[in-house]
Amino acid sequence: MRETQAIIDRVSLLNEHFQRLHLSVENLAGEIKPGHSLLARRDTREWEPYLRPRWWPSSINPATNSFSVDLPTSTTYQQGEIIGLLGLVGEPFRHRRTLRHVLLLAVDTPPLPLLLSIPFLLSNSINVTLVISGSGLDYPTKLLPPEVEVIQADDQLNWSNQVMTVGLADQVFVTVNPDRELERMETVWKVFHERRAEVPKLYLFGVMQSPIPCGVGACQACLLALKEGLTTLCIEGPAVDLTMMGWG
Amino acid sequence: MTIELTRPAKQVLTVDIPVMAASGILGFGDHYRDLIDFKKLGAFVTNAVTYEPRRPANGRRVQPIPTGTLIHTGLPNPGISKIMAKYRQLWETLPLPVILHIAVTSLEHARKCASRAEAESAIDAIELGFDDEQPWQETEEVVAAVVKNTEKPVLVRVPFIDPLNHARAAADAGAGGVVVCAPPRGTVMPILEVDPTGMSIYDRPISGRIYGPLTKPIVLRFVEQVVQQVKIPVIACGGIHREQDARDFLQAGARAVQVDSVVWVKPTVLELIARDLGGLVLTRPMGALADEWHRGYGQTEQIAREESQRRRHAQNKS
Repeated sequence: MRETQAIIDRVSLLNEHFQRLHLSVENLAGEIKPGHSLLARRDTREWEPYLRPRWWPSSINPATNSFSVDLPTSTTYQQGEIIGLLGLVGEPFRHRRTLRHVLLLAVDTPPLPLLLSIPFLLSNSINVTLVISGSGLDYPTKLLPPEVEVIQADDQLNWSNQVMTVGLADQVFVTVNPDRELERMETVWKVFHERRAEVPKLYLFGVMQSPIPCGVGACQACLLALKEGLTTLCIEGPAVDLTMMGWG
Repeated sequence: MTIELTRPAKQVLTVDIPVMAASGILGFGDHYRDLIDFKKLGAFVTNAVTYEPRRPANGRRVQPIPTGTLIHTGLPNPGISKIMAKYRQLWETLPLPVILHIAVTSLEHARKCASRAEAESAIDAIELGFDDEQPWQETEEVVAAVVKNTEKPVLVRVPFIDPLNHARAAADAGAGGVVVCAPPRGTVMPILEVDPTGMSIYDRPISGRIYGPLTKPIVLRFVEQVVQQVKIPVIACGGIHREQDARDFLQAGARAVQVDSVVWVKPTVLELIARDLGGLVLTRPMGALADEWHRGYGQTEQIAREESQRRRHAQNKS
């Protein structure tokens, strides 16, 4: 964990709901991997927002020490603005070595924590399907690489060819609306449990995005009780193997 | 400069710098080692420890509120025995006194925790934390039992409710000093969603401790009252977010300060306050770049902003 600063090079509007910040940062971009997040704070003496919001990089360019992050348009950012960053938070996603098809699920939330894994997977010739529902549909999926199959799900988490997409996937990464995050994750777990005879280990990962105060494991606000023991989401997360949750 | 944080006794808690992080902020170990120089702090206060293991709270635990946050962790910890086994070695090597924070769940458990801590050379002092609903008469009873079971200096972090009576009770029962005070508790109704007509749909209420700069003026008043009426050392804790906040508490008569949630938001502020109150504020060496000295004191950001504005202005003109 380290504290650093980034400068906003450019702000581009993706649609009426989302904007993309292009930032330059020294010696950090090369370390960012899918699953990592950063705790961001504007260079201000104000205390609103108080806790640092979590930023999920959507692309990185180590050669130019730059990365980009997609954010809601509810907050306005300026070119040249300095952003204080604490990071990296969490562990990279644990992708299997032999992957052919990865299913990404954004349930009633934009797929922000999953975005960085898309270029990584595609560059390794792995097929990517993104299923998206609810408020996640505000995200401009048209801007994703054309190789990504984007499927819209309904509020009950049904989508066309669901059995096939679930069956084809070697790994699944799910993110849900952080309000009542665990309840929603359990619903996803039940859907997969019904669709597959068995949900194997390291197959279905919940990517948790609840707010975290410290990001270093000190405050213990993000401790999650697993079947066996506890996990600190800001250290060992954000991805949790849902077979460890003891949901039956 | 040596500061005595507990009243004269066989063992007295002394610090060189009157600044430390509050319990629950830095964790049990050196999680913040990359961000904070522990040598610049007066003491290390651990997260809350109980005699028996405690699980984390269920449901939503962090809820942002205007200029602050509400947090309910449930004080998870594996119990004092496992904590000691895991962190004893680290605490022994820390370059500052270690204060074990014991969350009082019952008189018997508090007493057992104190006896356990008494045998540990890695622990320099004990801080007792009480539930907000605990009557001050029980505080007196618990403190007396703990003091009987240890020769280590005992601090009492008084609850936000009725801190003066709790502080009096702690002093009467033999506490070495008091920490004024624990963060207040509150309840928030988080908005779950806004329906198409614009009506907010609320989630289940969440209760927890409130952190943020808003608590400082209230705690400052408590500190003034306790300092005037209780004749044992007072450590102030609540809402400190900058050097001047900490100075205000010392001016009100506190011997030292505990800094809380600002450490999560801006970790370097803890060290800045410690440098300031520890007399370590030095003049920046001539010719040093701002960021070579310290980001917080530098002007690099401001210069970068002005430069960027100038460039934009020039671009717009052309």
